[in-house]
Amino acid sequence: MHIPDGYLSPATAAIAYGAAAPFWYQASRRVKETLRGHEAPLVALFAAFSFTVQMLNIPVPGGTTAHAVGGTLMAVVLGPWAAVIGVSTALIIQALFFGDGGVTAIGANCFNMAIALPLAGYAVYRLIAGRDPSPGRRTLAASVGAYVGINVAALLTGIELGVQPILWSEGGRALYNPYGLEVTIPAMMVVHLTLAGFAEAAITGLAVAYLQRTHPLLFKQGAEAASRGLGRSGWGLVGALAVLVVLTPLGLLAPGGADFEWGADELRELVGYVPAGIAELGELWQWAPLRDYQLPGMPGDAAIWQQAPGYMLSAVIGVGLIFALFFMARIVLSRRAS
Amino acid sequence: MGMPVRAMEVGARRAGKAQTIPAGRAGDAAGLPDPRSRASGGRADFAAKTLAGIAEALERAIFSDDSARLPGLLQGIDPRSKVLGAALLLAVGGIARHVEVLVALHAATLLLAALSLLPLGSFVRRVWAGIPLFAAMVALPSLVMLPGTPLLSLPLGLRVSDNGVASFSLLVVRVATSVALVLLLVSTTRWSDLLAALRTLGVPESFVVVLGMTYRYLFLLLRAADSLFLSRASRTVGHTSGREQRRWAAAVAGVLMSRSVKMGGDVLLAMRARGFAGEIRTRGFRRMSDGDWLVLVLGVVMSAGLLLLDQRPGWL
Repeated sequence: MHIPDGYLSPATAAIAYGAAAPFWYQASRRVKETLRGHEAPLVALFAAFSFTVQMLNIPVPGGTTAHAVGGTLMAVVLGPWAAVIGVSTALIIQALFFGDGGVTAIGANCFNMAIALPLAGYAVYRLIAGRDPSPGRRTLAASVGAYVGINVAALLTGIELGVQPILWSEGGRALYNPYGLEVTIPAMMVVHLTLAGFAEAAITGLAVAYLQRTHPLLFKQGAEAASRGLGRSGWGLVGALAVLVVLTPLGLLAPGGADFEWGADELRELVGYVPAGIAELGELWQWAPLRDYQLPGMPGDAAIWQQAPGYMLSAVIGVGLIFALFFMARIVLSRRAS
Repeated sequence: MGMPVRAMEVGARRAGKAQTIPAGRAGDAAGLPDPRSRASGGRADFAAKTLAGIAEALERAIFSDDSARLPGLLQGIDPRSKVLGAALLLAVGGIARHVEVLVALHAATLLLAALSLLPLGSFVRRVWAGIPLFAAMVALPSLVMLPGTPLLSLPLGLRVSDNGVASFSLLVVRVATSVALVLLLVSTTRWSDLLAALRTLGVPESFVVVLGMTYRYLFLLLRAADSLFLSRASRTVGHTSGREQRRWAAAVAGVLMSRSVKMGGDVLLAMRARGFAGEIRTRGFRRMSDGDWLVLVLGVVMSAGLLLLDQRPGWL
């Protein structure tokens, strides 16, 4: 699932860094709060664990082996934000030092495997486990969480790779990954819904069961960290954004367009002519990468289900850009204040 | 590699489940396969695969540490210049739209590798044998999938198109060039210097310290995993079921996690005992010499030149 350099356009890579930045900021803040300024050795050891667990080959049915990420395992035992920092650090070392995953793609790989995976996995785990779960229920919840987490990460990877030929092609040749969404999403999902998802669920469930038997104290410490969990603001952030992104295509059901957001054609219909300024400046938007919130090449009469992914993708990119700007403003303002 | 059969039986039982020793092997303990090699079925066993992966990671780290001490061109350059130069060239490698520009950039990395006294054959093998080769295999169908002017007819009515060839070569050469740039940087820069350079270039200090500590303890955990797998492989006879292997891999993950949590606490106590009060200080760098600035300027000029060539492909 590690995306190497060269598969993503620099613009996608930059957006992914922007999307990951607020989660990194929140994670480092939460981990610092929990560990009261003495976080370095513990976070380093978590990251080293994450790196090592990714090297394990897990036997899967069919006689082959798959790699586990271990993000949900870390989130369940050590808390979701510690997992974000731990897996991110491991991925950065893999990219910088071992050439596994690209350097420009660090943002995308971290967003998929170090942010979306442990947060989604942990959310599912908490939903199933509830408060104070029995050992069996905790094991089951961790397994299902791990399965969901790795598949969310795989889906995001498929989308990021699949939009490349749609957004960045020149004269029929793809500049980056050549396969569209119709290839990348099934390619990623078939493997992860079956073999890799099975491996991740098995290693997580079995490791949680093992740790509950052999190191129950670790789970008490973990429960302390887990009770802080995502935090109210963290849950709010993830939940509200997910709901809004999923709901974005709802506007397609409404008849007509939004008032005062008319284009040149609608204005001609409404008032009979197009003001010169609008006609001139309107040309600028033909260069927008996601014009009308649609993927390039989408026919004008596409059905709602065909248009919906474009809307959702636009929402994800928009939210990422807003976070990136907010984060930059925060850095600039905090430097001035100090 | 010889091991008493009795000891292997005991070991196999300890591994969780008593294993029957295959008839052909019971009297030939000395002829058992090396646990680091492929299993007898021809397919690599999960333990052998993991051991090979860990050995490769350790070998790569040792290779990089050794090559960063050679008296070559890039080894003598300030790490800040190298990091900035590599970042610029990586950006050019990402932006370039013509394969000729990427080939020129790749040729430049090979020249720099030779001037830095890196063994060229090994460098090329390390670049191409991994990710670019995989990228080429994955991108192979795009040769016939992308519509365009047919260049070559294949059986089953498949046709290789010009757009397919252009997309395939662009992806593979772009991936290889990026891998070469990163490998060149880490092969000529010690990890500690790379981290210090990142800190002076604006990466938060606490994050750089975590990266440094992770790298240090990574090898401890990798060695622990290596020992666990090697000991298991050494005392296992015959074939184990997939279920048994998964249970065992999960137990390794559990052991490593509990060790890492305990070790984290121990390291913190040791740091406190040496006066650590939550504040981290790292050493600074010397001033950049004229030579360091020159390399940085050359990197900027080279990046600009390549971008210009990319805009004017007719010049190539």
